[in-house]
Amino acid sequence: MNLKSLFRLIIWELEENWSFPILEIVISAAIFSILNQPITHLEFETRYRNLISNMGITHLILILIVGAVFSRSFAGSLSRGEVKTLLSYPIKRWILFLSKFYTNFIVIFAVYVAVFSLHIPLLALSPFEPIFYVLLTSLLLHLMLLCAVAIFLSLMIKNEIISFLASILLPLGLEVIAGNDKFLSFYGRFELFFNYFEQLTRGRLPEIAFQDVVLVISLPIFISVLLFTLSFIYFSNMQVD
Amino acid sequence: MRKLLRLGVIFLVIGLSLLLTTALRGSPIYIQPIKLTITPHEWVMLNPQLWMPRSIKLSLFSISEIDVYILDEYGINAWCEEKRLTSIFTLNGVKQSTLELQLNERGKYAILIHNPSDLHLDVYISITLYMLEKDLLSASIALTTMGIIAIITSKILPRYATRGM
Amino acid sequence: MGAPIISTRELVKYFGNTAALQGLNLNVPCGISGFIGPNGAGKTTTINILLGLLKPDYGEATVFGLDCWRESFKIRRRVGVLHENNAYPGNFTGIRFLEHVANIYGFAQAKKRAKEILSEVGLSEAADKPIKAYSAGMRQRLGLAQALIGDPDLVILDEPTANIDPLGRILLLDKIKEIHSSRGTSFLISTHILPELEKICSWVSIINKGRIVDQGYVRDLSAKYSANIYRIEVSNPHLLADRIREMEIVEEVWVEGENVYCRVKDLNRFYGEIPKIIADLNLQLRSFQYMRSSLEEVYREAFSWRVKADES
Repeated sequence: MNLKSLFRLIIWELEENWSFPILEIVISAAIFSILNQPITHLEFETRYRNLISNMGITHLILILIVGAVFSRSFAGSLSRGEVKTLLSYPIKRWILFLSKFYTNFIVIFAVYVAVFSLHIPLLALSPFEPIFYVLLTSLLLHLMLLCAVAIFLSLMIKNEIISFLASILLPLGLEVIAGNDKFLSFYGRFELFFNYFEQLTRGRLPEIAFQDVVLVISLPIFISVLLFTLSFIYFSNMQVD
Repeated sequence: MRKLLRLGVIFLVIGLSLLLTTALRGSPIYIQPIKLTITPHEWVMLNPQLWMPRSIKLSLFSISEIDVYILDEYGINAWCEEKRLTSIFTLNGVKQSTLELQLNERGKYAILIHNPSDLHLDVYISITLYMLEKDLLSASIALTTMGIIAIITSKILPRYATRGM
Repeated sequence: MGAPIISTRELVKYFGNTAALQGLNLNVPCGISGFIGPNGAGKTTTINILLGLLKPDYGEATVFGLDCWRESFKIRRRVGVLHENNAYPGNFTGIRFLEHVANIYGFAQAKKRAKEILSEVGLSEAADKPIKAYSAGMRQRLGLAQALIGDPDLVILDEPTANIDPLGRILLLDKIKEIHSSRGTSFLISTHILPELEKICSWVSIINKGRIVDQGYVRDLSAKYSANIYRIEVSNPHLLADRIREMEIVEEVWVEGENVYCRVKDLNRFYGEIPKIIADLNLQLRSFQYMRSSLEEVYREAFSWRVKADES
């Protein structure tokens, strides 16, 4: 019964929040940010490095997309009164929360995976290229973190535009402050993670400590889970007027 | 019909985005001149590179005549394993030349140079990749066309359906 | 009154330092009930608490005997609601929106159910139009449709006739009466438009400043707050009026057209004496009617009684 309700609400969310032109804009933005990168490594052995040559722009566009989509879905729905309408039906709050999260997360991730996947034939890589899956894992972790931050801010602020701005400025501000710190900044974490697996898959002994890699993976997971749990508890008990 | 229209719009958007990306990626890639020193009668293969289905301009300079072969992946494997020469392009006895070739497939390519003379030779090679990537261009045009067809079909079919009634 | 379907006991709700509800004791039986009060009285806050959207700071609120905060899911299965400013997804068509709602309520043939309910509220022709293109009246009818689609036992309507033209209001109220008589669905209607409510409600709860001013069956409240007015239609009203003015039990007399209106102190004595007076004056009596207080008058009187009670 809960699974059916969740599925129905996912369909609702897809039709409401991913109608024209939202999905089209996200697809275009993903294509431009990922595929429109200069080919800097023509050497055949190191061509996989072209997968990540534009990660800065990709990261920025991802922040904008996640901020816009989640603030519209959570804060926008709250301020427009759509959450009040939905919660007047026999819907459990946690199912509504999860439906919004799953729908938006899965669509954004699927679009990015699809566009990154276009890179495989463009770089004449094997579909089983391990670095590609390292990249997707890193993307997944980063997306989870950005989603958790955007949801938390949307529920606290409850205003679509302000939560959108906060969802962009907070991660960007942290990036600026952290610089290239290998744990605190996205680019630092990404480089460490990528370089570790690059060295592992290219047959050389990694110079990066395994503990650092574990920390780089667990830090965003920990923060995501914490923010997500707080948001979940808040949404389940919040008063809707 | 609404679903067909939406699908058409999505294909159209993907196609147009890819088309624009193809245009932006179409800027020339210029590889800095590579200098090779080849001993007499030696065969030297440059590190294999990833080349796209674009136009390639190879500029060569040598003080004596050399033989230049462009190998695709099959040719590279044949040469590396069996020392068997199967090239897609051949230039024999050139000292200074510019070779323009059109590639149709994306993949691994290498330049194999043979010094038939008794001299130690310095060879300078520069490579430029230009024009649009053919496979991306085809894919984007195909997707754009599919999108337009789907949109037009979604508009026309209901009219035929009502007329038929 | 049987067991109430809605019951609150000493319900208190604060928003910051403002008390929206200050010990609300609301009881609503089965049937069509009105919930009336001035702006800011606490009607919408009460409705939100009943639906489990707000948690009371103190007191109890139950619907069908179920706690409104802890068991709100079970309540919402049996209740349909039309909020004052209902928000609909603008991209959806009317039929698609109702199909989704029917799915939420677990209807196997959601589209069929949606079509049925759209037809019932007179929106079949606008079914495939996007909701953002609907007029205010159409949106209200869509709101009624989504409140009824789950076949609820209770429907709560918050300002259902707002933004609707007079004919639309009449049709809406007729629809409510028809649904109540055919399916036995109870209604709680929160509105400012009292003359319309009077036509269909059997029970009224009057709220002000977060407290119940009075509540009860409309006939009982009318009798309680009656203004003791008789209307007499005679052949020569001015002659009768002049004679009645001399009576000590009459407080006020006025004439409108062929009718004489009298506010009296002693109903029984007046009822006994008037026929004799008319016979003495040789007048032709056409009608003689006791004027039951309208809901507006009950509302006004109840507030004035409350003010006097508070002052004393």
